[in-house]
Amino acid sequence: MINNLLRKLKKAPWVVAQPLTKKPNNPQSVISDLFVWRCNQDWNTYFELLDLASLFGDEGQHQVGIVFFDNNGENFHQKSIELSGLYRQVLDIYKVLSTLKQLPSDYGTFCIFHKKIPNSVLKLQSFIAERGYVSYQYKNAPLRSYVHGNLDAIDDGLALLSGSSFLNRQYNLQYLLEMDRVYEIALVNTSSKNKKVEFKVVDFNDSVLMEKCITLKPKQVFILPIKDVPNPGQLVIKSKIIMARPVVFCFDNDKMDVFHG
Amino acid sequence: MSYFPILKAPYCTGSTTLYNFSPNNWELVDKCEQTVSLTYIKDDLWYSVALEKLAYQDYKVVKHNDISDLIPDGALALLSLSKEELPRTSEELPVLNCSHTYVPMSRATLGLKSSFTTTVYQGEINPFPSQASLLTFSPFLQFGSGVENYVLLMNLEKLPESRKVVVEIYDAHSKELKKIQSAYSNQINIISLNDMGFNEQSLPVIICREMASIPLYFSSYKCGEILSLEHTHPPASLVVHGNRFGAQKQIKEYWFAQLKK
Repeated sequence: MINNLLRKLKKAPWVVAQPLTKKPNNPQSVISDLFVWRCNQDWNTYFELLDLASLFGDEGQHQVGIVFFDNNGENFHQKSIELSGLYRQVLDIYKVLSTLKQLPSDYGTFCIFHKKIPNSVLKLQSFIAERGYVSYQYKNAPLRSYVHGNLDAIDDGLALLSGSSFLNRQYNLQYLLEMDRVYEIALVNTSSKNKKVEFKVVDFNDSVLMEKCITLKPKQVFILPIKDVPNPGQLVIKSKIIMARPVVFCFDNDKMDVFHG
Repeated sequence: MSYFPILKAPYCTGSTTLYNFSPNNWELVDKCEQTVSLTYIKDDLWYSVALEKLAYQDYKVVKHNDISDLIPDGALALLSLSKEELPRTSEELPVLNCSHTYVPMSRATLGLKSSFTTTVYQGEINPFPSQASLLTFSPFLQFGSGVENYVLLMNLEKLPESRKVVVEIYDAHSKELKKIQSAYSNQINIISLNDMGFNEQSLPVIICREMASIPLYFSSYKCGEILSLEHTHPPASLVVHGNRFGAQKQIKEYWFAQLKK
């Protein structure tokens, strides 16, 4: 019992008043992850639009709003899209953005807000959350690589929902960085404050193979390239982000595999 | 703490990388050596074999070929880390004595390797209740010459049995039953989604009324030249806060009533 109490006391500075996800103030809010988009001559991004209200049995024509942010986290485009009910609907991000004269950057973040909230979800005092599926096509490959959304990052008033840590935390990516591979690690700041982030690649003898420090603005994504690691290594991300879970792009020559950390 | 399966899929062999370090620096864990065990079913019992000791801060890659001689043909291979060796045999899946974390969960890298490339996701599996069920909507099917799609239904339960269940695959819009196939508990069930009449507008919905699973969607181009792998979230992930499992119950009841064999 004393041991349990000690464990709780030791954990308190890491958990008290530091929620992973804050509840939106408005009970009729809808929530989205901040997904990473990449569009240039090598990349395209797709999003699998599911009509969540239809999945809950709500009939009728539904819409989503999509909001895009550039590589500095600045909003540069938004639009409404009609959903196709229980048909599959793949959103080609390059096509959506092709109406713009010029893209402000070739990567950034985006979020998707469902405009219809099923009554059953309201009754359960829950919030609809878009944490769906993004796919990336690299160098026109005949297969896209998929990754699911992970965080309840932002509400439809564009309020960021991730909490902030009082102390610096380490996110030790449980993934083996291999010598013959190239990686790009994408990390999004889903909190409302600027965050200093330290990336460190270390080998299993504790030697530091690479270090990079940045400041991430809210809604901003940073993409860290890692290549030519001399030994197998692991990535450590130090910041006041509560869950600094990155998206990992792994390259094997022209082949690309993406997954969540 | 969780088990870490070795995956299997067409044109591929599985490989799982285990990590004996915490994914964060603030949830208290014992920094100790752990035993890497292989657990599988034989003669209606769980068998466990200690493979080796893994030092703290180290990793271990276990390929299917490394352990294929130790398990019956086709058996689900489960790896684990624990502070103590597991019993040689048991009538229930051993409960692992090891440190665990929640934000994030401790994971392993679950990979599939073909002659040409590799795809991975960060995963784990915990035993499902035997009375649980599965509902998954799949927007992951990819199309084109040389492209094949599969769902890998990965189940783990406490009892060492091979329960036969029925998996039903429908088109979400038309509710047309496309396929019925048997699957088994404590197994990775590979189900082809090819030649079922699905096209780019189809949203497949896969249900199993008698067994839960982690649904992994796997696509291959030209017999493994390029691979794609991702899982869907459970329906509870469509919402946050409030009564999420009430929402999951509701959506499952709705679809199980809509979809008739």
